[in-house]
Amino acid sequence: MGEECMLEKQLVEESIRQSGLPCHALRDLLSIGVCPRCIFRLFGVHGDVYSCLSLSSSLLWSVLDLSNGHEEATDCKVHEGSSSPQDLKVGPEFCVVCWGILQLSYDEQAQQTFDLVASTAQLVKGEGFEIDSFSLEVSVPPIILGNERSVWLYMKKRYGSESRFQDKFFSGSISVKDALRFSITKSLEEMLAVKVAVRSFHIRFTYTHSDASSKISLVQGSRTDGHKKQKRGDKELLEGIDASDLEINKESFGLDIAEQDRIFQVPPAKVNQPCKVTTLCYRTPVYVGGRYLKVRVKNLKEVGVDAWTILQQGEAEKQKQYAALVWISRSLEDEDLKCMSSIKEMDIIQRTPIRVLHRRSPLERKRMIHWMRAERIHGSKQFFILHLCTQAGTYIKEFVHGDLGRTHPNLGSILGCRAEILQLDVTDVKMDCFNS
Amino acid sequence: MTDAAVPPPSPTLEEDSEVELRRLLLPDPNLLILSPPPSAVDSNYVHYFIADFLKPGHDQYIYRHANGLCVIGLAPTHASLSEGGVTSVDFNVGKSDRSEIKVTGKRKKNAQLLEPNSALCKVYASDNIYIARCCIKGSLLEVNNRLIKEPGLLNSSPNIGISKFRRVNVQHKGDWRLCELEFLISIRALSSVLISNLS
Repeated sequence: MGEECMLEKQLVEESIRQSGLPCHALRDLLSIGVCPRCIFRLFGVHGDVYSCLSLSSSLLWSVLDLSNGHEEATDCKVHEGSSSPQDLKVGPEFCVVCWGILQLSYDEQAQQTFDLVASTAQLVKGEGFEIDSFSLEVSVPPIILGNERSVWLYMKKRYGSESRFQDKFFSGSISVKDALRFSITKSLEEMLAVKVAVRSFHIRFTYTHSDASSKISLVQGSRTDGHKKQKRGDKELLEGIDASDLEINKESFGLDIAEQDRIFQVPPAKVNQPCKVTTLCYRTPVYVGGRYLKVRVKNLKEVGVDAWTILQQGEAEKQKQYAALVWISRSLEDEDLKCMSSIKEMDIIQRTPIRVLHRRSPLERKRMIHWMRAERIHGSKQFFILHLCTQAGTYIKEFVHGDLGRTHPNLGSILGCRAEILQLDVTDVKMDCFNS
Repeated sequence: MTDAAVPPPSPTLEEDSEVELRRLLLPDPNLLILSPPPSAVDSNYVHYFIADFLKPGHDQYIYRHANGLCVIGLAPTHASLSEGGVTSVDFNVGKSDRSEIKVTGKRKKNAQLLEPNSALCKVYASDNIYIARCCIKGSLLEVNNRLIKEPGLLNSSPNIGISKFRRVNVQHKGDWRLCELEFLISIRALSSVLISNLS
C-alpha cells in the first residue's frame, strides 16, 4: 500500500510539472472547486495519473503543501468565499466543472463511494455477458463546456499577463469523456479480464444532471450570434443530449462575457448534487444475410457491414418473383394460360401510379416482365393465381389492372378484358450473392 | 424375421417450404364468392359526377383518390358518347395545347393552375364539338394523350379518364352540382322521358 501511494504521489508531482502551472495557480483552482482530474485535463496533461485511485482534491492539496512547504497560505491568491483546504475535507464537494463525473475516489468524510468500475463490472457479470473485449462510450451534459469556459475566463482575469492565457480557450485540453476513459479503462480491464477493442461489446455511460436543461435553455435564450435556433424546447429531451448533438460553438456557446457570468458565473457556481450516471451494456448488431421467404429464411450467412451497401447497389439488378390472386371479367380459357406462359422478357412502360404520384416524380418507367405462369383455382372460372417474375421496381398491381391505362401493356390489355388484383405476395428475391 | 416397415422418406426441407407456400398463397374460398370483386377504381377513388356542366348533356366525373389526386373524365351519360361515339380528341384549347405540358419532379413544377371553367380538351362526335372542362380548381398534372391517337378509348373504356389533377381546395362536399352516378343516370332517364313526352 505504501509503495502504491508513493508511486501515485510521484505521478501527481510529474503531472503538476507537465501542466506548467505554478503551485499558487493550482491551489487557486482547487479552492474554487475544480477537481484534480479536471485541472490536469484542461491543461493537457497526459499519463497514468488519471487512473490513480487515490487522486482526490485532498491528495493534491497535500502534494502541493509538501512541494511548497515554505510558502505560507496567505501568499496564495485564494478566491474570496471559496473553501479553504480544511473546508474541502468537510462534506461532499462536487467539482464545479465536471459535476462529479471525474471524481471517482472514495470520499472518507462522507463515507460514500460511488465506485463506477465495481458497479459496471457487476452489471456485466450479472447480465451474463460473455465478452472478449469491450469499448466505452460516454455521454455527458454539454453544459460542462460552459463551466470550462468560466474557469478559463477566471484564469484569464487573474493570470492574464501570462502568455498561455492570451488565447481564447485552453489549448490541448482533454475532454471529460477522454479523461473518464483514461481513468477507468485499466481498472475495468482488470475486473473484466479482457481488453478494450473497437467494434465489440459496448458499455455506455450516460451522465445527466437536473441543472443541465435549465442552464441550456438560458444559453439558448441569450445566444445572439445568429446560429440556427434549436427547436428542441423539451426539458426531458435536453437532459439526455450529448455535447456532440448540439451544433454550438464548442468553446463559447456564442455567449459574451457578461452573459457567461450571468448564466454560469465566473468562476463557475457550485452544485449541490453530482451527475447521475446510467450504465448500459449492449452488443453491436450482427449483420445476417439470407434469402427471405414468407415462410422461413434460407441460406443464412453472416456478412459484414458492407452487406447493406451491396444490397442497395444490387437493387436495380434484382429480379423479384410474385404470386398474385387475379380476377378477370370473363372466363379463363386455356388459350389465356398459353398466352401468359409464352410471355418472356416483355417490356412494359409504367407511368408513375396515381396512388404514389403525390409523392413521386411523374416518370415513365420501362420495366421487364421476365416470365409469367397462370394457375387455375379449383371451383373458379374467373379467379386464378398468377406467378410472375419481374424486374425490381415494377408496380405489379398497376400491371394487372392497368392504372386507368397508364401501364401499358397490362394484363387486361393482354387478355382483352378487365383484370383486378386481390392479393399479392412476394415469393422470391433473386440476388446472386446469397445463392449458396 | 419380418422386415421392419420402412417409413417413407420424410419430405425434404425444400418440398416442405413449397407446400407451405402454396397453402399461404391459395385464397380463402369464401373470398371467391364475392364475384365480381370491386375494381381498383371503385375501391381507391371516391366517385363524383357532375350533370350538365355549363351546358346540357355535358356530364363529367371526378374520381378523387385518397391522396388528393383527381381524375377527370366524361361520365357514361355524356352526350358525346351516345350518338355513335367520340371520333376525335384535341387538347389544343386555344390558349395552349394541354398535351404539351411537362410536369417534372416531386414538387410537380410547371403544373398549370386551372379553374373549374377552364377547358381541358375538345371532343368531336358526329359533327358536334363538346368541350370537356376541369370542373374543379386544381393543378393539371397530366393528360391522357393516348386519346389523341385512340379516341375510341373514350367509348370503350368508361374509366379511361382525360386528365389527372391535383386539387387545390377541398370544398367539393358543398358543391351542389356533384352527385352520385345512380342519381345522374336516373335524372338522365327522367329527362329523356320528359323529352319524348313533349315531342
